[in-house]
Formats: sequence, C-alpha cells, structure tokens
Amino acid sequence: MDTEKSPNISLSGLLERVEISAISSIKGTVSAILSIINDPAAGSSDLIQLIEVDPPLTAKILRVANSSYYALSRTISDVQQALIWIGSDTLKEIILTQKMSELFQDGTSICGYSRRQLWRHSLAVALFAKTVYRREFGEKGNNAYAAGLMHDIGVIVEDQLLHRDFMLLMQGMESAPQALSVAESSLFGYDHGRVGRALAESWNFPSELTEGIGFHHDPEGAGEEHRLFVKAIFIADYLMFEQGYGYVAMPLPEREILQQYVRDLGLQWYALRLIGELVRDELERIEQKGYLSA
Amino acid sequence: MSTRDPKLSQRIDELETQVRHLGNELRLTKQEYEEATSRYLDIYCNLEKKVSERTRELDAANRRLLDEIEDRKRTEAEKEQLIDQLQKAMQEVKVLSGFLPICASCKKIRDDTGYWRQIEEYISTHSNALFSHGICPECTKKLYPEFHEEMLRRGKKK
Repeated sequence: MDTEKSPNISLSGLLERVEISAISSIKGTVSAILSIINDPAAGSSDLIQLIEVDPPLTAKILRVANSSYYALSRTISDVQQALIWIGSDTLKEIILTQKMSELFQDGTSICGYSRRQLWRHSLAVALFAKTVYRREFGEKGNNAYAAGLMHDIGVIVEDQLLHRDFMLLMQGMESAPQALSVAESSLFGYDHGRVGRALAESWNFPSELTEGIGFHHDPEGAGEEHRLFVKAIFIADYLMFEQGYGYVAMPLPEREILQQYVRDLGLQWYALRLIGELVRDELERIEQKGYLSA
Repeated sequence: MSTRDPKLSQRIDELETQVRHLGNELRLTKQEYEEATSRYLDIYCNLEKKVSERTRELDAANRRLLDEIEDRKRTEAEKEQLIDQLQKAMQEVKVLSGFLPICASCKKIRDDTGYWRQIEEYISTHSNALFSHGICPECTKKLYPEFHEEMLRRGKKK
C-alpha cells in the first residue's frame, strides 16, 4: 500500500502501479469470467477449467454452494455438481463476487468511509441493476451485475494505491461536502470513473462494462450503444446511495436527472420501489449468512 | 365508474407490476432450468463417453503391457541361452587353460568324471581343434624298422 505523498501521479502512472500491486492478482480470473459471460459459445467446461486452476476459489465456491443460503438438499463436493445445482449464471456471479471481494479487505475506517461500506454499496448496486434487468426487462442481467459490482473499482484503486491522499480527501469531504468526482478531480486530476475506465480498458473488459464503470456518474458521455445500460447503473447507484447503501456522505446529483433516466428506461417508480425492497431483503439474507462480506 | 379512486388505481398498477415482474422471473427461471437440464445431460453423456474412451485406452495400454511382457520374456530367454553358451565356452576355456592330469606313460587325459580319455578325443571335445593322424620318424624307426631303412636309402640316393 502506498503511503507516500504523491499529489500528481498521472492516470497512466497509477495504472502502472496497479499492475505491480496486489490488485492485479484478480485480473486473470476477472477478465476470463467476463469474457465467458459475454461469449454465448462458451461452455460449462470453460467455466469449470477457470475455477479448477484456482484452488482457493474452488474452496470458496464449494463453501458458498453448501451454505444455508442455497440450502440444497445434498452436499456439493465438486465444481461440476455446483454448476448443475446452482446454475452457471449464479456460479459466474459467485466467482466474480469472490474475486472482487479480495480488493476490499482490511483498510481504514474514516469519516464514515470504509472498504466494507464500499463493498456493501457495490453489492447493493450489483443486485439492484441485475434485478432491474431480470424483473423489468426479462433479461439475465449478468453484465448489469458485473457493472454494479465493479462500477466503483476506481475508488478502491485510489484507496489502495493513493491511500494517504484518499484518506485526506475523505476527511475533506466531511467538512465540506461535495460530489466525490469533483473532489477527486481537483485533487488528483481525474475521478474514480476515469480510473475505473482506464483499468477496464487496459484489462480488456467488454465495452458495455467499460462504459458502465467509466460513465456511471455521467451516462451521457457513454456511447449511444451502451447509454441505456449505463443509465441503469446510474439509477441503481443513485437509489442505493439514497436508501442507505452509500459509502461516503455527499450530495447526490439533481433528482431531475434521475427522473429523466427512469423515463428513458421506461421504468416506473413503484417497480423501482419493489425492486428496492427485494434488494434490501437479499442483502439482509447475504449479511446474515456472512459469506459475501469482504 | 369514470373516476377511479386514485389509491385503488395505484394499487392496481402496483399489482400489475408485481405480476409482470414475477412473470419475467418465472420465464427466466424456466430458461435457467432448461439450461441446467441440458448441461446435466451434457455432463452425463460426456461421462459415458469418457468412461468408454477410458476403457478403450486402458485396454490398449493393457495389450501394450502384455506385448511388452512377452518381449521381455523372449529377451530374457535369449539372454539366458547366451549366458549358458558363454558359461559353457568359459568352462571349456578353463579346462584347456588349467592343469590337465595326463598319464606320464600312455598320455591319456583324466576328465572331470575321472575317466581316462585319449588325448585327441579329449581335446577335440573341449576345443575346436581337429586331429589329422600321421607318424613321426622316430616312431617309424621303432615300429617299422625295414620301412624306415628303405626311406633312409632313398634319401641318400637323391
């Protein structure tokens, strides 16, 4: 972890640091799982191979599959059984979640911010975005889940690699609340969206995901093709912040923007409220079982 | 009823949303169920295929091993034969290179069974040497004196 004072490290310099830091340890598995999610031709064997080369991951998956969360009537003793009994989509989510959770370990708790809070926020946004896709659009929403889980990867990069400055930033936000992106831009010259997008690009994430991470505060900046997807992430992020799943006290963007995006996606408020309730229940269940906590 | 109670109409909207949500969830779950079934069948069929492939491989390996065992047995037998021959040869070499008990008078040789053999018989069985019989001048003089003298006369004439 970097504790040197380095006010003006460039974005490319930061990326170079990522590559030699512990963050890069998740690169292989995360990139592979994302390409499996986005490749309709990918089969079960690709997924099994990916898991089996990583024994700690295999152990975690079996632990999750046998947890009371799934409450299966039988004991899952290998990855192939897990694939059949909990399904490949869920398995993909578990892999991604377990790998991402590695980035949110330890850390300092300061002015309401902690990696644990950020992780809770990321999970909430992931579940919300996925549920919108499932319930409203009738799609699986694997990418929405991934984008929700990873949308703030830029924040965790800053926390890990620009630790001291980031802590100062959090302290500053408490005394003078402002949008995180604004505070970041004035201190570092870039915000967590840009950091996340640069990372996603250098790790070859699918473009939909890259834009979801990069423009979740500014969907209009995203390409036409993925703009609605990015707006869904924006909505999930906004509502989860508003409903107590934030990680830092800051003023949210104008509500009018949110309302506009809700209209753009053809969503209705009671639908979003229902989804919010579902997500809250789900998070409670997850927190009780404790297996997804960072 | 042209103007519905706004609360009632909101409730209806909510219920409709719920029904739509559950409909979508059900459809996705069905789809996932079908996928899981086909994956299960896939894995199951693969398993059968794998078992038969593996059986075939094992059979082939088994056959190779049996062949190898045969080969080794043959080589072993050949080796033993060779060793036998070598040992025999060595024995013979040893007999002919060691002490030979020989009769001081009749020159017979005693073999390992204690039997006294003619020297030419003994040597020809224990080596590759062959004998061609002749008679030396000394023995001619002793055994055939007249023939010996005639030989001498003819020699002087020459």
